[in-house]
Amino acid sequence: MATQSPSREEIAKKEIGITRITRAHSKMLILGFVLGLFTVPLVQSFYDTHLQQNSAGKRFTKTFTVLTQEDYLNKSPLSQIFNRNTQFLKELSEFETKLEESSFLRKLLLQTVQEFMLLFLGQGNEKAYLGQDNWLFYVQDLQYQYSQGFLDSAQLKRRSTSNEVWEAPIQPDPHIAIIHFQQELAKRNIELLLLPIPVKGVIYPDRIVAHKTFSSPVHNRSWNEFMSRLEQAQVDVFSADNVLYTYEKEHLTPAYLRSDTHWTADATRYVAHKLATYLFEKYDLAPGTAFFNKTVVEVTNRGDIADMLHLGPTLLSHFTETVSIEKIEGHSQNQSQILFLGDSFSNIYSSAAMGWGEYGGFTEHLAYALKQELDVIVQNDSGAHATRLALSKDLLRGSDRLAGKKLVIWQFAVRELAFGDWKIIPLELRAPEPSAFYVATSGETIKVSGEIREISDSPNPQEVPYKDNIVTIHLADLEIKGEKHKNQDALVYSLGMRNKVLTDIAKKKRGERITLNLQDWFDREHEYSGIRRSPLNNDMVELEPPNWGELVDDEK
Amino acid sequence: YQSLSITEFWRRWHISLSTWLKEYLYIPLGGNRSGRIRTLINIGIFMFLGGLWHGASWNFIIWGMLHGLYLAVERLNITRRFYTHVPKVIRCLFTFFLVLIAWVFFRAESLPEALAYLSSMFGLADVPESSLLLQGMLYTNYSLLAMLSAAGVVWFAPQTWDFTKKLAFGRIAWVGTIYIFAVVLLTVQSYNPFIYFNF
Repeated sequence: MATQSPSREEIAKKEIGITRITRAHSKMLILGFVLGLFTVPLVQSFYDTHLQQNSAGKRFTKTFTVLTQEDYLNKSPLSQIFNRNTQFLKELSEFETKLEESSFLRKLLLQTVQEFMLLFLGQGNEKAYLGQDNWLFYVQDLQYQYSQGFLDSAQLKRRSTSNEVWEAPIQPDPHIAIIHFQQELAKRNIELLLLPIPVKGVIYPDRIVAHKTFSSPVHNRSWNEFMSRLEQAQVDVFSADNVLYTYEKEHLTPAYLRSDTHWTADATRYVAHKLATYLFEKYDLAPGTAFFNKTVVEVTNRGDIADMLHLGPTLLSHFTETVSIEKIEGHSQNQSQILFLGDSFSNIYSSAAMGWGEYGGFTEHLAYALKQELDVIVQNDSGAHATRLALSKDLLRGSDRLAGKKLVIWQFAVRELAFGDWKIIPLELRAPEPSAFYVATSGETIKVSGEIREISDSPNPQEVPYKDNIVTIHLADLEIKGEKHKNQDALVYSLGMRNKVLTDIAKKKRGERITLNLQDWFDREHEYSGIRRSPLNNDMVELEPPNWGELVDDEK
Repeated sequence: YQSLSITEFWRRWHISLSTWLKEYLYIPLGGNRSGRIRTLINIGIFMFLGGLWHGASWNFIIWGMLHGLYLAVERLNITRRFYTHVPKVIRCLFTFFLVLIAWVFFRAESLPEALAYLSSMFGLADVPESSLLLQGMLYTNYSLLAMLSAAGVVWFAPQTWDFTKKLAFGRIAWVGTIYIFAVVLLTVQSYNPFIYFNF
């Protein structure tokens, strides 16, 4: 009779519980396993309590918001439950993120592992890709290039439902938003010029991969369709692609910084002058007469992508670069034919907060070439909607930024086409209304306490390429210079993230009472307006006149 | 992935699920004891529900039914000559190939996406220039080394079950080292939720 070999199930049943191991080794394994399980949370707890001054328990309770009267007022029981649940899910997600970031193991290991990966395996990480000749690329920029077409219907549908429960759904189609914006401007006889700036990999695909040649800029597969649709809709576009693609051949110097997401100072000036030439040819602009002074300054800094690598100072020093910027004396004023909306590509070399010098950026050089000052709204990140939103809010407050304008130039990075929230934003001019909100007197610093009614979210510093972020706070039940003003509120902007570190104010929660030194926002606007700001969810409060605030101490 | 047939694959893969389905569904339906046609129907139901268990989406159902088809073909002995005459390494690679085709449906977010992916795999799709970037980023020394290492572990490393049947100090040290290495790598990456959490 032929013997059949036993099945795996029969073998398993025979062998369950039978492992040949000595008693000593068995105890060693059990001890090692149990130690591995419990050592980590015990060390983490010690680390949090004694070294970080912030125990896990404290972090847990500080993450979850205290309920306030506003949670109950005028809301049905079901609505209260739903809102509370949504809030809880959001805070749970924040708690998990904080848990991960505060991990002592991560802090201990991250730098070493990353340096090993970079030096010996030529690998970056989830945010930064190491290309040829030690050029760094932002992974999201690469994803723009190789991912699904941003106008693909399945991709648009996927993006429109990709929001978390506590987030509003995004509007993923750039074309709809651009056409709408064009139409809104056309009502005021203002023309629109789009200025999409290619990300580094579009112009330098050969620096991403070896042994491949590319004959033209490498965009997302929906790019040609996007440009074609804009042409059909008669939206004017100044394509910086061709200018930048040939830049290095003509000028023998790169158009982009090696370790940063942005372009070089030379390329910035070059594109600005090319755009000015285009504007003179295409648009009926009154000739400019403004006179500007130029000063050359050298600036040394490290690129934003290098900072994403979490390297030690020795390796990081290899990624510093020096640029020569031409500082232009003169700033934007409201009386101008052109309103310029831009993102970090316009802010770099212009705003000191970016670390690459100031007053030598794109808008300064465009103004210089046009011989006229520009009205400028520039904000890092979210080029798809941030500046349009800022414009809309100004109009709703009664400040007519479009008065006297013939042209709006809207600059954004092309990655926004694939990842941005292209909100449809109406441009409605309202008559200015007196506000009941408190505003500090211009030129003064006033100490004010208040309860946080709402505070906007801060980004996760590890997840974003920009270094700084402003939070927005709705402060209520004020105490101004020691005097109680129970029914008075204030809108405050404050620095919530500096150099990729969340400040104390970013950790405050709704219901907490804090003390701030307040100044009129317009006294500090020139320093901070270019920094990305997280807005409140309450659109009405967002329209109130803002203050600039710096945390003094908090009262519990 | 060392399996020499799809039937063997399902004895090795997700054993808890396949055993449960076999004992509580396939056998109560009659298993393979009710004639050939009924057996094939039972296999179809078994794999349909096995796919559906992963999610209420057409791509999981297609994945399940594809495996059902593979199992049915093997059950019908259509491939008997192949399995008896062809060298083991070819059978192993062929089984791996069939499983890979089915995995495309499992991981794709939708049916059109799965079909597009398969078209690309077989060189039938238009390849935009931007895809060359991805190709270049994937075919780096590091990635190739990682894939070769994974292939080495899958096809040449001893089974964990066999390796741990007899634990001496050397093996304990080896296992401990791999454990620490895995923890280090997990610690420095972003949070990746357990994929089966969705199920």
